[in-house]
Formats: sequence, C-alpha cells, structure tokens
Amino acid sequence: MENIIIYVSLAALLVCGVLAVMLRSIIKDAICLAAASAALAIIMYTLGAPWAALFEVSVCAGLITVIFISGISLSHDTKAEVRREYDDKRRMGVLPVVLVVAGIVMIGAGAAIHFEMPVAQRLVQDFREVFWNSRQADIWGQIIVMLTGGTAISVLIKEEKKKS
Amino acid sequence: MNMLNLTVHAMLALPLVVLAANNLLAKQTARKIALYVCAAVAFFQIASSVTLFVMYTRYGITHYDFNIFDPGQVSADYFSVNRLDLFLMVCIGIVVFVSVMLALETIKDHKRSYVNLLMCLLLGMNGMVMATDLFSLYVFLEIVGITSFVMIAMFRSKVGLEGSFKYLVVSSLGIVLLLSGLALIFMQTGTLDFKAIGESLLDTQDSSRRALTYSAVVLMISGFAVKAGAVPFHSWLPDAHQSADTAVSVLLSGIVIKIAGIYGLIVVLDLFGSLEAVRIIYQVIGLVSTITGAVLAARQHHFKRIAAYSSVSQMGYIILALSSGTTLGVVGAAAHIFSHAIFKSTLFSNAAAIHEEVGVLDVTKLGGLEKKMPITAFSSVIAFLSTAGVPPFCGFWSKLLIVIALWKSGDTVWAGAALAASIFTAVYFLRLQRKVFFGKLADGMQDVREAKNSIGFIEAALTAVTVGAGLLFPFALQYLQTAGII
Amino acid sequence: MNAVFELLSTGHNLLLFTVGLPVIFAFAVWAAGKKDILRTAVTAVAGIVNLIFGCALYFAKAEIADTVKMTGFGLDIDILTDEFSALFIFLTAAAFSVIGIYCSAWLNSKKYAGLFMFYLFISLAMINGAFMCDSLGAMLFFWEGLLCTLFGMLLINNRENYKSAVKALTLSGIADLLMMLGIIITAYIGGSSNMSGLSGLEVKGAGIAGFACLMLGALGKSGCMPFHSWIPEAAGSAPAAFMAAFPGALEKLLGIYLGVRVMTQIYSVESGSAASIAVMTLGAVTLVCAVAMALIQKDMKKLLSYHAVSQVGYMVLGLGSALPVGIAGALFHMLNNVIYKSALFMIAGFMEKKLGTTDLRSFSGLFKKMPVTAVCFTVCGFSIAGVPGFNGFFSKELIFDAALESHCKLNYLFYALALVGAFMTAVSFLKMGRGAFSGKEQLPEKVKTADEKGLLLKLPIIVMSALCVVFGIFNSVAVDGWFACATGAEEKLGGWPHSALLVIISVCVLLLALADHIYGCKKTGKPINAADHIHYAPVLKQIYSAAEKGRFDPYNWINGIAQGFSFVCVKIEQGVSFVYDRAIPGIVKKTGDMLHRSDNGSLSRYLAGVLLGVAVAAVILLSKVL
Repeated sequence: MENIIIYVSLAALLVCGVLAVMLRSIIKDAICLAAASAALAIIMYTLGAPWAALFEVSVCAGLITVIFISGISLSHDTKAEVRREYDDKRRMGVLPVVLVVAGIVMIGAGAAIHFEMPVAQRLVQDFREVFWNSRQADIWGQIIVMLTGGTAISVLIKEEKKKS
Repeated sequence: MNMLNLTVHAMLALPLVVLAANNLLAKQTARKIALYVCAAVAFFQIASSVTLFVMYTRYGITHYDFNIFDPGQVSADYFSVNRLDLFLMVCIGIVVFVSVMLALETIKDHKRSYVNLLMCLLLGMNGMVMATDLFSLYVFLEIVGITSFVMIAMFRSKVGLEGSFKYLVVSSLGIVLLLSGLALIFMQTGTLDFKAIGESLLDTQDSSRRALTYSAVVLMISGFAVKAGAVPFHSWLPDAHQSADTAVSVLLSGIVIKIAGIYGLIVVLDLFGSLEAVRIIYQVIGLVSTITGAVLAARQHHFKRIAAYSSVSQMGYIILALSSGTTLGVVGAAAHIFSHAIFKSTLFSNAAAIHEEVGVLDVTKLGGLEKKMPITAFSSVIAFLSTAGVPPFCGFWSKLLIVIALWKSGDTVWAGAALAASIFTAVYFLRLQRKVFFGKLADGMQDVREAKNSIGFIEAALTAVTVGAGLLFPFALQYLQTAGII
Repeated sequence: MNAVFELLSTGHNLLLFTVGLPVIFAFAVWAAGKKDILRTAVTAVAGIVNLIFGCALYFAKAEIADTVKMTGFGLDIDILTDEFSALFIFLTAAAFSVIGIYCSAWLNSKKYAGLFMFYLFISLAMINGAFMCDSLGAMLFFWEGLLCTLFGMLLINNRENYKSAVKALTLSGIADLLMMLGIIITAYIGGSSNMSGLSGLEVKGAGIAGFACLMLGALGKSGCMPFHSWIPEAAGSAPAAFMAAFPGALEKLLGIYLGVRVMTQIYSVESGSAASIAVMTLGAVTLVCAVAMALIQKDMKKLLSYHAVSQVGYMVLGLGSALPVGIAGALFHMLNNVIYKSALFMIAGFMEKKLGTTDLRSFSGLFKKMPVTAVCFTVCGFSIAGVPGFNGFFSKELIFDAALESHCKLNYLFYALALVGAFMTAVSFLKMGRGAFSGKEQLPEKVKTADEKGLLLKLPIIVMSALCVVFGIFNSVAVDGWFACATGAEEKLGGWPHSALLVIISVCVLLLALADHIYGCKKTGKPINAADHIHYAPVLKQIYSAAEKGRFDPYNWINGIAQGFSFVCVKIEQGVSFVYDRAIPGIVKKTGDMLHRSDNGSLSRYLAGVLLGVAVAAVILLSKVL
C-alpha cells in the first residue's frame, strides 16, 4: 500500500513539474508547482517525516503559491502569459522524453549494480527537541534566511513602486 | 579570552543589529550614516579576527566551539571557528570594507537597500565559515546566494536582470548537485556533522555504499565548483559581474566566489582529501580554469568582463593549490585568497573610478588615462604586478607558496604548469593596462579628472596593503612557522 | 681613547658609528647645501669625529670581532677589525678629515656643493664599512656602493656630457664584477665566505682564476691597468675636489687594502712564482705606460691623473714581489701617495679656482703671486720623484729593493722598468713645476690677477706637504710600526736604505732627468714643452698618437666587442620575436576565439557546461577508484 502511494505521488510530482515548466500561462504554472509540492509532502509523510511534510505543504504549497500569485498579479496584465520569445515548443517537447529516459537509465543502473537503498534512521525524538538541541545553527540560519528573503523581496519591489 | 571570544558571536549577530537599525531609523538619517556604519562593522571584523588569530596562536588554541543561544555551554559546537576561518573572516572584512568605500561614490539612490543586503551577505559568509555541519553550511550558502542575486539585479537594468537570472539558474543547478550529494551522504550516516562523516564512510566493504559516497563527493565538488566559478562551471561569472554595479562586483569577485565556492572545496578536501581522485579532480579543474580564464580574458572588451575571467583564472590557481593536499597547500590557497581579494578589489576600484569619471568601460574606447588619473593608473600597475607574481608584492609570495606546495607534494609537473600559466595572467592584464591607461589619450577624455574621494582613498590604501603585505610576508611566514602551522 | 673603543666594540655600535654616522652627516651636509660656512663646519666636525673613531680603533690595539644580524634572514655581517683594517680605517679617517675640508672649501658658491659632499660622506661610510667587514659578501656590498657615489659625483654638473660618468661606472663596474667572481671562486675553494676563514690558499687550478679575478678587481678599483682609463677622462670633466678625494686618496686605500689581504693572507704566493710574476708585470706595465702618457699631457689635472695610475703601478710592483720588503714598500708608497697625490690634486684644484683653467700652456711664472703653493708643489714634486730625504724616496727604494730581490729571473727587467718610470716621473714633474711656476709671468686671458687667498684651501695642502717631510724623516714609524702587521717582517725595513748602490742609481736617474729637462728646454724654449722631444721621437710618435686616439684604451675595445655582440643579438632577437610575437599569440588567439564562440551567453550552454564538468569529475573518480 505504502509503495503504491509513493509511486503514484512520484508520478504526480514528475507530471506536475513538467507541466509547470511547459505551460504557457504563468498562473497555471504556479498552481502546478503547488500541486507538485503537495505530492512531495505526501511522499515525505509516507516515508516517515510528518513534520517535514507539514512544513512542505504549508510553506511551499501554501505560502509560496500565495506570494507567486500576488507577484504575478502585480507585474503582469490580465493575460499573464509567458512571453513569446521564451516559449519554444520544440525544446519543451523534448523535456518529458528526456526525463523519462533518464529515469529508466538510472533505475537500470541501480539494478545493475545491485543497488540497495539504505534506510535512514527514523527520528524518535520530538522534532522540537531536535531542532533546539542539535540544530541550533540551522535555527539561526533559518532566521537569517527569512530576513534575507524578506529584504530581497522588499528591495526588488521597492524599485517597482518607485518606478510606478 | 572569553571577552574576545564574544566578538566571534558578535560577528554572527552584529550585522543583524545594523540591519534593524537601518530599517528602523528615519530615512534621512539612515541614508547618511548607513554606509559608514557598514564600514565600521567591516573594520571591526578585520580587527577582531586578527586579534583572535594572534591570541589563539599565542595560547595554542586551535579552535573555539560555540553556540549562539547559550554561550558558554560546554559541549556546544554548533559553530566552530579555527584559525583558517579567522583568516577568511579577515578577507571578508577587507572586501566588504572596499565595497562600502566604492558604494559611497557609485551608489546614489539605493543606499539603504544596499546596506540591508550587504549585512545579510556578511552574515551569510560569516556563518558559512563557522558552520560545523554540512546542512548549516548549505543554509548559509543559500543566504549568500539569495543576497548576491538580488544585489546584482538591484538596479533593475535589463542587463542586470539578465545577469542575475543566469546566475540564479546556473547556481540553482549547482545547489541541486550539492544537495544531492548531501542527501547521498545523509542516507548512509543519518548525520551531516563534519566530525561524523569523512573517510570513515569509505571503510565499508559494501560496494554500493562506497559508490554512493563517491557519487556524493563528485556531486558536492561540482556544486561548490559552480559557486566558485571554476571551468567548466564558470559561465555565469562574466555575465553576473558585468551587469552588477561595481560595488557589488567587488563583493562577488573578491569574496563571495571564494567563501561560497572555495571554502566549500576546502571542506570537501578536509573530509575526503585522502581520496587521490579528489586531488586529481582539483588539479584538472584548477589548471583548466587557470588557462581558460586567462585565454578568454585576453579577448574581452569590457573592463569588468576581463576582471571576471581573471577571477576564473585565479580561482583555478587556488584550486590547484588545494590539490596538493597538504597544509602548506591550504596556506598557499588562503594566501592567494588574500592576495586575489586585494588585487581584485584594486582592479574593481579602478573600474569604479573610470566608470564614475568617464562613464565608459569598454577598453577599446579608453586610452591614455594615465595622464588624467595618475593614482588610478599607479594602483592598477601595482595590482598588475602583484597578479603577475612580481616580487616584492604579495601576489608573488602567494604564488610562490602554491608552487612550493605543489612541488613538495610531488606534483612537480603541475607546479611547472602553474608557473607557466602565470604568463597568461600577465598577457591579459598587460593588455588591459596598455589599452586603458597607457598610450594615446582617447577622444573625449580631455576633461577627465582623478577619482573622487573614497575611491581614490581605497585605491591608495589597497596599493599600500599590496606592497606592505608583500614586504611583510616573510615575517608572516616565520610567524606561521613558529605557530606550527607550516 | 679607551672609552671610545669600548663604545665601538660591539658589532652593532661599530656599524652604527663608522657607517651610520657618516650617512647622517651626509644628509646634514646636503641640507647645509650652499651655506658655505655651515657646510664646511659640518664637514670638519664629521672629519674629526670619524678621526677619533679611527684613532680609537687603531690605537687600542685590540680586535673587534662580532656578528651583526640583519633581519634574521641568515644575512649576517661578520665584522672583524684586526690591526690591519683598523689601521686603514684610521688612515682613511685622517685623509678624509683633511681632504674633506678642502673639498668643502673648494665647493664654495658652487650650486652642487651640498650634493657633492653628500656623495663624499656616503663614500666614506661605504669605505669604512668595507674595511670592517669580515664576510666577503658584505664587503662586496659596501665596495659596490662606491660605484653609485662615483657615478653620482661624476654626473654632477655634467648631465649632458655623461659619457665620462658612464665610462667610470662601466670600468669600475667590470672591476667589481671580476672581484665578485673572484670572491665566489675563493669562497668555494676555501670553504668560507669570511676573510678570516680563508688563508693560505694555493694558486692552482681554480685558485688561479680566483686569485686573478680578486687581484684584478681590487687593483682595478685603485686605477691599475686595464681599468684606468676613466681617471684621465674624469679629470677633464669632474670637479677637482673629486679628483683629490677619489683617485687621489680613497680608492687607493681600498684597493691596496684588499690587494695586500689577498697576497698575504688569503692566498699564499711565493716570490718568484707565476702569480707573483704576473702581478709584478701588471705593475710594471702600468707604471711605464701611464707615466709615458703623463709625459705628453698639457693639462695639469690630466697629467696628475696619469701619474696617479702610474704610482699605483709602483704599488702593484711592490705587492707582486711577495716579499716583506715589497709589501712594506707598497703600503708605504700607498700612504705617501695619499699624502702627496691628494696634495697635488688639491693644488691643481686651487689653481683652477684661481685661474679658471689648468691648461699648462695658458699660464706660467706664478711663483711670485703664489709662493706658498709653489713651495708645496715643489715639496710634493720632490716626494713623488723620489728625491732623497722625502717620503717618496724611501718607499721607492723599498720597492726597487723588492723588485731586485724577488726570486724571479726577470728581476733586473722589473728594476729597469721601475727606473725608467722614475725617470719619466721626474721629467714630467720638472716640466710641470717649472712650466707653472718659474719663468716669465703669464696669466690666462680673462684672468686679471692671481692670488693665494683662501685659508681653508691652502691649509690642507700645507698639512699634506708637511706630512711629506714628516714621513720622510719618521719613515720607520710607518714602515716598521704601522705596516709591520701586514708584512710580518723581522728585520727593520725603515730608515735609510741598506744598499747604497741602489740609492746612487736612483740619484743618477734623477740627475739624468734634470739633464734631459734642460736639454728639452733649450730645444723648445719653454719648460712646458721640455718633454716634446720624447713625444715626437720616431717610434714613440706613432705610439703616442695611437694612444691619444684611444687605440689602447680597453674601454674602446669593450665598446667594439659590444657592438659586434649586439649585432648578433639583434639577429637572434628577430628570430625570437617571431616566435613570441606571431607564433604563440596566434595560437593563443585562435584558442581564445574557439572558446569564445562556445561561450555565447546562452543559458542552456551554461547548464550543459556544468553537466559536462560533473561528467568529467565522475570519469576521473571512476578511473581512480575502479
């Protein structure tokens, strides 16, 4: 059962990712990204990382999509489409083929060398304890990342406001 | 001693204070003093790092482990700073200082934004060198990456956005490679702590696990090499440098590619250096970068692109130094990081001066500026001599260390190749000098005046540092010998 | 005196006071510049201070041996002032204190006064440094420092006509290079780079090269042939004060110092051995050729400079004999030369200042107007000619003695050549002295009157002339007292010469010279042309005219060789520049173009590049691991 869920989610992840790149409408691309994140969250939950799944869904599928859509609406007119010069159907058409072929090659290679995936140890501690006691550097890093991200966005948007 | 150690904590926290102050103070006040406060922070970083280095050497301390939130907790090692890190922090401080000096003249409108981003960048770099865990390293690497993207794109010129975008995409590929490598390691050990991973991963008999480790090594090296701008991962460098404002280019070329890229490569060398393949990869990448960067630089027309390819070439040198695998090699690499930071900063200061006074950075349109801008020309010549490895400037000593390190570790051919590649360095730099500063005065340059205050000041200061560091280098080497490092 | 010695007795202090202090004085005197009185005062003070140090070093009769560390690079300077080098420091100091005052006074109201004295003081510092170094490398450093000051002094006031400065620099530079080569070979053979560590090396194999290079280099510095030709040329263009100081005094001290060290200490040379004969030949040739050239000169300074070269020939002759009497003679002759040659140059400078020229044809009969000068000139002339009773006589006798006693088969030839030299010396001085001071009074045009005012100019001359007499009387103080440390002689060499026969022969030569002079005067009418019959004698005429054209000047030979060499170099250059200018840049450019085309700004190419890099890394790793 678990395996089926993982394989389906992986397929969904792949499809949504490819769609996100290939679709012409930017808003649709953002939504596909959100769907891909959701698929990833399912995989994480199934692999035994519930907190990771929680963060993934809330931040990536939720917060990021909101930011994307507000950014798109601020910068584009109603049609919100990828500009013509960036839309190269021929190249885009190659992408799914490449991905599938690469996947087959990797699986084949893994089977050929009798690849056994080592299983990562499940964390038995509460994630809060883990976070505070063994990943303090990351906490600091995350705080600064968020500040940085906020700063970066505000710098870029400030220019927009100044211009308009 | 404990008081001094607090300065290390400060270096991870002080920029945040400045960031907060910059945004909370009134706009006018902030605009006026923000850059000076940044300069003060950079200076503080230089001073405290140097002091700590000397103190550590005196008392025989090799490293100091600490924790941000409960300072003094005994077994905390979330951050760790050893003497190499302190030296790198000195370089960071110097380049940030130079960037601020340039920004005083070149950035007119977006001072507060620049300061915000600069402080975040500083934090990111400090965090990177002090991290003890591969994942923390990655987090701080991301900070560095984000801030650099935005700093390049900050002024919203078309070419700026394009350069930033290309940097973003290529860098993302690099990060993906790096994360894949980290993931492969994490799969085996469940931890990414520096102490826990390393060659011990290779002790296993299971060939598939060994294969995983090897793949992880290759991926990590590639990821960091993208950030460092080594060939063939370098393509983003010229576009990013050219489109950014000079104050930002200084940061990129002077310190970001080194901390984000070279430091990562040092970490990989530390962890997996006993693998001969790692050293060979470094050698190949290093030599190819040196030559390719130099050859390409000789064909460019834009001042900053020449400087960017020059950075590629010099990164090649540093990676070659690392490939020797010995402590002397790392010392040589660190010395070259320092020398390169200084002369790249000088070069970009000259670019800023020329851009401010003349407005054009295309070398085919420039000429004979030596008569009008003597200080700039002089500092440029000194920087060139240092790059080319002419004694007694500091570039000579760092190159000498690299060649000696390669020689001593038995790679005499590579040592010879490194020496020969210096000629290429001289080629493109000479071309730059000749076209820009010497020769006939180009049309329309009659009213050009010397570089303005802070740019002129920083050029002179950097020249003094080049000469001084070169003259004092033997003493520094003696000091390092007594400190037991080499 | 002892207190001063104590002060000086560490290496650091010695260096500081004998080298550093003159440097400081150099800057002081440069700053004093055109303020004549101040400058002269500073010079006097510096001379006296230096003299005190020199006396302290020598008369304490103790050695200072020390090592001064220089910045911890392993460049240590070993200092050793044994009796011999202390003696030379003392003699230099004494000479400098007199000549220095003269120079400063001579430079009154010349605008390069400060700069000239600056160079002079730096030269003193260098010479002091050279004397006290034991390590040959450091001595070389000080020795070569003199090249700079030499060049500087010759260039003063002479910017357009820098050829003589370049010539001096080239010839002195070559001599120094030879000396450096000699030092390297000697240090290699002897296994030590300190003079005290080298002793008694054999002149065999590499030793021949080392000995030859060292001697040539050392003696070349003092003006021995073939490094002599810059001195007469400098006489034309340099200030007379320079001539008094350098070729007159300082360079001789330096060159003979090293020459004696090489002959007696570093290498063991037997009298009559090939090395000894070679050196004696060099001395004899110099002696004769230089004085022959001096004979025909009409300009006082040039004449004196050729004489200076010739006298060096005497010293080399004595040195080469490798006998105690010869060494003592050489050293005493050096001392005498310092005294009377500098006095003669000072007189020439004095006359130049008063009359505006030193061309002997333009003035005569100045005895009435410049009596003191004339008397001093006479004293010095007698000394240099070797008139019995004056100091030159005693040193020449010692050298004649050495030439005869040396154990080689040609000793009579050397003696004969020395006598010929003495003859011609006497002739030329008679010519000069009588031409300048006796006869009808005639002043150069544009000069209304001549006088003898100028105490500070006259006083050094008088002092030096007096010393001629003093050392004539007290010659054994010098020969047996001072120079015994070098000669190692058991018997007393001073005092009246042992062999009466030699004295008689010398006196006969002098009388012959007088007769020749009178003959010449009668023939041509003027004393100044008294040597013309020698000049225009059948064979000698051609030789002289060739010499005047510079055919015998080694500098011109060097120039000729250099031109041929440069032609070959141009051809090689053209070939090499083809490789460098066309071939290699062509390859680089093509490579660059190729790479440039592949780096075209397309993002997908960039990404492909990254993947390519990953692939390469993977391949390398796999090749090493499998």
